[in-house]
Amino acid sequence: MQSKVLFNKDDHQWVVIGRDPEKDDHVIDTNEYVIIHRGHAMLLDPGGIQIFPQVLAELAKYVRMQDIKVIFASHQDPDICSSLAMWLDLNPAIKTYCSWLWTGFVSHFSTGAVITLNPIPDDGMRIKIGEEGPEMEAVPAHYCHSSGNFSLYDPSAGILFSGDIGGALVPDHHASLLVTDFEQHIQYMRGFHLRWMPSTTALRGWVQRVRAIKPKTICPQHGSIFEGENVGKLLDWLESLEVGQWKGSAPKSETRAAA
Amino acid sequence: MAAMHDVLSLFKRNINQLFGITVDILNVGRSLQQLSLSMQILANNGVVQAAKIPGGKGRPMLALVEILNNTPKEIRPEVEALEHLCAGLAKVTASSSNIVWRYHQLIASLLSAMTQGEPSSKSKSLETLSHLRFTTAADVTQLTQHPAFTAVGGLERENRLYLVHHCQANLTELQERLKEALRCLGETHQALNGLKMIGLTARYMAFCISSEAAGLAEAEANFKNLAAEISRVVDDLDNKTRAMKDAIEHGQELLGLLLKGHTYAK
Repeated sequence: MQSKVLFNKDDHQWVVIGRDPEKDDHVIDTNEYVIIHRGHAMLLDPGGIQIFPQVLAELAKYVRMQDIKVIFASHQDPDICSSLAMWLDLNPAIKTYCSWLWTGFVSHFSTGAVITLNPIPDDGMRIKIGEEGPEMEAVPAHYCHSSGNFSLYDPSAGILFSGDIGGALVPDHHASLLVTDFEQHIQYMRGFHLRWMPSTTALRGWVQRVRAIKPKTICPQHGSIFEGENVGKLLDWLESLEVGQWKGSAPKSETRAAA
Repeated sequence: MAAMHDVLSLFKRNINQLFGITVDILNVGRSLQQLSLSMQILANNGVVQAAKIPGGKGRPMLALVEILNNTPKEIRPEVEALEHLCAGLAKVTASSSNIVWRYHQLIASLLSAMTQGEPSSKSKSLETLSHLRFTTAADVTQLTQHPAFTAVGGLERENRLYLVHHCQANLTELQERLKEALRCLGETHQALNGLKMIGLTARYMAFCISSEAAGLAEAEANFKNLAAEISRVVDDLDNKTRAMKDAIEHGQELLGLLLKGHTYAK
């Protein structure tokens, strides 16, 4: 597992953890992010249970386990938060947040102790890192892809965690954590978005909200990170997409006859 | 570290095997209820046969089959007690399974951190840990004494000790649960004694019916058949309780090994 400091200013850090060379091939590659403010941490999409040991080992280099204050889950998928019970077992004081739509579902990831999640209302909310920490903004991203979905914006760093939006299935763990050639990178994003994003309207709505925020960096949960001019290129590309277009394969003649 | 994962995976599988043992015990227990119904049918048959005997000679026979008639009433609470114990055992097994699963994740994380922290030239030093099974608190303590554990900065060392503390707590909790499972199995074993006594009583009744039948002329053959049927049902009861005893003893053997941090590879 690799980790890299993306932002570090005034005792405020963003760290990305990902690209695990020892990960089983059948497990989709994910990026886990942690925001550390004056020693207190917020973990964004902590990941699946399969990669929990590696993420924990890497995270232990940056923050005390007792100082993880918040876990934010962009949506309910297993690669996003099936490790939640393990994190809460390590530190029961962690406050967890996800869309109100999924609190009852994500609680099923419990392995003993009850998982209590703080519901994020549809319009979003501000989430503090600890009692005194800065506020992060949960930005609505519903139907991108999940029906209850949020991105998270850090105003002081200008970084937007976009969840699955901007995600890519990069070929291997050697792929760069940062997008260096946007046009080249599209091939890894296209299929991902066409199939996993169900609504063009919702995706374009999200792009409009994000343009208003003007982030300097966009960090997806899969693939590589967009910085500088690549942020604008990503938003333009997303706006041009027609997603959720699967119409089914043509029925076979026997099926038609049977019908 | 592959050996550690193999041992812990087998350790987890062994704990989950307790579910299978619980189901075996429960299935045999439930089949006993069916068997008690067979006994009742035989008892009813005996009542009918005894009523046909003229001149009050069937009275001793009626008394005997009446005792048999009580068998289902006696077996039912025994089976219910078994079900209760098995439900407890399944609950303890589920809890143990969760604990060992969490524990495996934490140990894997510690070893992953130690492997990452080791420069490649020193990676062989981690091989000195390969004999550890990590199924006992002593093994986890030994891990903390390895140079690769301590040769890191203050933050990482503190986090590693935090994880070790959680691992030890999980192992302590697991030991408690396994002891509870062993206690459940012991109580199940005790419950078997009640079933054995019911079988012995029924077998004795069969013997008495057979003896009484000797003086009953033409009814003798019917009662001898009835006694033979009762003996067959009691044989079945014995076989089932023996199967249950075997399952319990297997569970006790398994738990004995797990409590010592050993695994069962058969």
